[in-house]
Amino acid sequence: MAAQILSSRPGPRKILRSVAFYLLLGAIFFVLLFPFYWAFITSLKTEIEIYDFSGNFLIPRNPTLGNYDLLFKTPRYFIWFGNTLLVSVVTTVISVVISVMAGFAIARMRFKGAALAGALVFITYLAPKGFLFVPLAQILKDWKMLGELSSLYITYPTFLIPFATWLLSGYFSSLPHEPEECAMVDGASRLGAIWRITLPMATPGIITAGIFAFTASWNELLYSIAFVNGEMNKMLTSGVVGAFNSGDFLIFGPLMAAATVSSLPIALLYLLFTDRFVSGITAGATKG
Amino acid sequence: MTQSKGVTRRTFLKGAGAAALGASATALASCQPAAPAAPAATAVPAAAATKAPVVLKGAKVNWLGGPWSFLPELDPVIDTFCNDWAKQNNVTLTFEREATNLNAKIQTAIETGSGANIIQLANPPATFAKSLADVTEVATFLGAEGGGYLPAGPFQCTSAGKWIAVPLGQHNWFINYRQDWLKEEGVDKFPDTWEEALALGKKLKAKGRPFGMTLSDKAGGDGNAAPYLILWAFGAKEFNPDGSLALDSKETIAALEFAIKLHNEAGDPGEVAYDDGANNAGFLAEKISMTANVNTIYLPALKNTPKVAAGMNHALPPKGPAGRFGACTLPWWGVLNHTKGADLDAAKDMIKQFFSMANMSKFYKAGQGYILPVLPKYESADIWPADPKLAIAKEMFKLALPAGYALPNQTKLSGLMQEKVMVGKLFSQACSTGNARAALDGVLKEINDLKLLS
Amino acid sequence: MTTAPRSQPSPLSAFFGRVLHKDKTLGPILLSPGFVFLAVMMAYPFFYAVYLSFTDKEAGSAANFTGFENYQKLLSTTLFAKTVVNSIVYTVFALVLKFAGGLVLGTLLNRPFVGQRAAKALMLIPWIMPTVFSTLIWNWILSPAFSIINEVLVGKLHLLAQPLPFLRDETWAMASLIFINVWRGVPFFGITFLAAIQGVSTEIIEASRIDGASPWVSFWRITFPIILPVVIIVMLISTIGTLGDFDLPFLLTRGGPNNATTLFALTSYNLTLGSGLIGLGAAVTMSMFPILVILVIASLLRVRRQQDNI
Repeated sequence: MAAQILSSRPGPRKILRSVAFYLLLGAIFFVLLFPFYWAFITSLKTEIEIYDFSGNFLIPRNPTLGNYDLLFKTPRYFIWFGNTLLVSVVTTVISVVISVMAGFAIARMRFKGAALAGALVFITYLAPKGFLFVPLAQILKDWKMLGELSSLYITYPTFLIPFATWLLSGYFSSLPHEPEECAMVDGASRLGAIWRITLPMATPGIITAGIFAFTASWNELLYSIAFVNGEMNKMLTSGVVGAFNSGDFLIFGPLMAAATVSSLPIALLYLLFTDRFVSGITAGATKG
Repeated sequence: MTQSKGVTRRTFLKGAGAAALGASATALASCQPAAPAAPAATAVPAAAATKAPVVLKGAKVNWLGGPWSFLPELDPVIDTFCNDWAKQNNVTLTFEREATNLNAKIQTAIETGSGANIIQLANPPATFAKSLADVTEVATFLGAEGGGYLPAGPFQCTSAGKWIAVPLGQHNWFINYRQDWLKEEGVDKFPDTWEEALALGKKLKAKGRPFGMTLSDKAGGDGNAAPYLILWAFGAKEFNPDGSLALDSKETIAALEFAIKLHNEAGDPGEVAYDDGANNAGFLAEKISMTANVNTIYLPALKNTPKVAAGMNHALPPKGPAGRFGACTLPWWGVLNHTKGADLDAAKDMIKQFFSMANMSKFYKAGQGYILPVLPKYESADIWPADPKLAIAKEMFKLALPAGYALPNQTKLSGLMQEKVMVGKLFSQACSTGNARAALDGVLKEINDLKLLS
Repeated sequence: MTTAPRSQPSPLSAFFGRVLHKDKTLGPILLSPGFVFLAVMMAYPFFYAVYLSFTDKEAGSAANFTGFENYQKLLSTTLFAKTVVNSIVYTVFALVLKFAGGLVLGTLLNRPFVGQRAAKALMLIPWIMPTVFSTLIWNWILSPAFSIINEVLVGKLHLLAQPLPFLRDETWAMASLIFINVWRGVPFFGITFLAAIQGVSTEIIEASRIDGASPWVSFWRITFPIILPVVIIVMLISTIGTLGDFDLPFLLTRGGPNNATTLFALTSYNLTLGSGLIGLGAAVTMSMFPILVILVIASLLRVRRQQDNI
């Protein structure tokens, strides 16, 4: 690998390159991560200290958990958290199941219209969210779902399925056909072979699609505000922002606390699955 | 001062009066500059105050509005009363407060004919005129009870001769300033004219204590009020009484030229992009010495930053060549017209009961001048703050004009201009570029877009 | 599933066995849930939206067919012209910077160093963080009155006399928007480029190095062509997301100052949901659709050719 080649270079130049390497890496990571440090520090300050830039403002003078207290005491905070979790899980499961089936069919089965279906699925991924808002609202109204949490179960997959299907079909086509065929020779039914042989092989791809879907659901803003009514049905994003924001006026202390807290579940998920996730996305991308 | 104020009011009244069709002569005695009462096609006598015998049982009402983020104590005042009312009348009532996407929620409700019934907003109801139910009966009743609306009420809430919303009250913008810092400059009170204010501001800015007026379009509240204090003081206005645009005038340029000077020589550089909270935060953090605001700097200062509370005071907006002008925004409640039958009766009854003088006095009092009535009878009611530093509220009560002046009443265009904070944008653009003419041309183009697209 | 009596199961189960075995039948069966869902929830709304763009539909009132009136109206406004220009500027700059940044990041991370695993995970935070919250943080960092960057540059280091007008100057606001988009997207580019680079066989690169190629030349001659399909796909996904971006301008600048940062989705949102002008809003989004279609077809063709060549 490139690194091995680098290591064969003579001393001083190597050190110089190392210094440059770490400086550049450090600078990039500083830009990427400083905002979170600043948010975290702000979340630990009192309301007055937040706006006080005299002295060393990079470390809180009188650290306080007051903002977290304020955040967690927001009426219904935990209901919003639960809603977000519930909607994210439900829509992820729905989308991944449907996408695994569709992706498998498009990638590995020869039938009339398979290629066309694949292209159409990807084309649907093009529709921006604001674009479908009005007709979707109309459909939801006809189905008596407008205003309910259930409206999100069926609308989130509109932007999750196209992408997940496309990703998974790429992944499935990267897998060999032989194991599945061998299993069928040994007497397994087609579905049995798929279930026991191919799907386990596709786990990284499925996890990737799942993480994608979960993240997109967790982060969604527009539909969750427009299709759902009532304080009890809010998502974490819209709820918290609404609680500490009057349109143009932001109360940064608790908001920074919320930013810190709300990214934790997703960050954990990625920490656990980084490697699988990466192999999933590249396989999906190259073979798609 | 009184002179210019009278002139202003009268010119304004000409317009407002035209809107108030069939102005009834009820209870004008206590109302000082002859404010016409509500357009009362069917003037309801005060005796009708007794509850109408409508059956509300089983009706449903969904209330949708923004939170009173600057004074959260006001939300429960609404909730408590209305929930009690709902219980008594067996009505199912829900509350929803949406800060970020209120308009989206309302448009959804309108388009699908479901969801919100009563909406609370501050931008003119004229933008929703087609979708709001006629509440003339409720408004007329409340107007009669309160001694006939001040002109701002019908100006904001009537359209084509009928009431499409009921005014909740007015937020008045006045000068918040650091009296202790002024005293260091040998000045006792905030100056009475904008020119003197500029001279004072230069000295303060040199000491790192600039003014911080919200000359910005990033603030839906302050941005629709603070810039008008300058605009009007220089004799400029957005509209002529006949509805034509009046913004392209030498007065506007004069106002902008002054604002540019004020911004460059006395203002905080950030003020052209302030959001609604920036001036509050800046004042409380002792970064600015003056801003135009409601009492929502002073009230939290009393609790959290006593030094600022002790050092600050309030003043009337300074005079310009055209006189002294106050600016207000006017929140209202309206009923979306998909609300029918018993639900409609219930929605109207809830407004009628909540807005009744006996009850609203509590609401106004809780705000300590944050929100004031638009009915003159309240002048003698127990709603006025006791704190002498908030006595300004009573002076502002009848001074302030809403954005959209000097139309006869708000139109779709004037409503859209406030929604997009066009005058705030005008000042923001002029002050950040220093070019008044170019800023005005840019904004005129955008207003033209608004006309085309509405 | 089987309702047939147990005494004679063979013909029916054999039938199902066949149906669930053959590509010709099992394929469509597996595809159908997704197909039906997308047809009902996307194709129908899509054609409905196309129809709406040719009507004077407003919230709460009926739609009347008006032909191209909406498009004509839009073309006569500065708002629409700005929307188009902004969207293109935003997308082009953000994509180029994400591409360059992603390559740099991917190459850097390809070299082993202490804490590499943690770095890979930490780096993803800007990308995985809910946009609402990360944009709030940037709102706070770029705040007109309390920007930490300005406090440091003006107040502490005295490098500048005046604070930088991040969100109040038209150019600065667009630059800030692009920067945050890049900040949010670069980790994803970096991690996928890294994975693709790691997939390139070491022998080929070493062979080229032995032949005397510099790392720079060997990267562009050998590595890059191999990872190109990944690059194209990632760029494509990102182009669609960037061109259709709503959250960032909505939360950070509301399209201002002076409509300098409004993009297709936000303009459409403001018309549709802000003002209830549904037909016009639909026309705005419709006008970005052809661009997207061309982009996608071009990239998919490119990827296919690439794969055929290998």
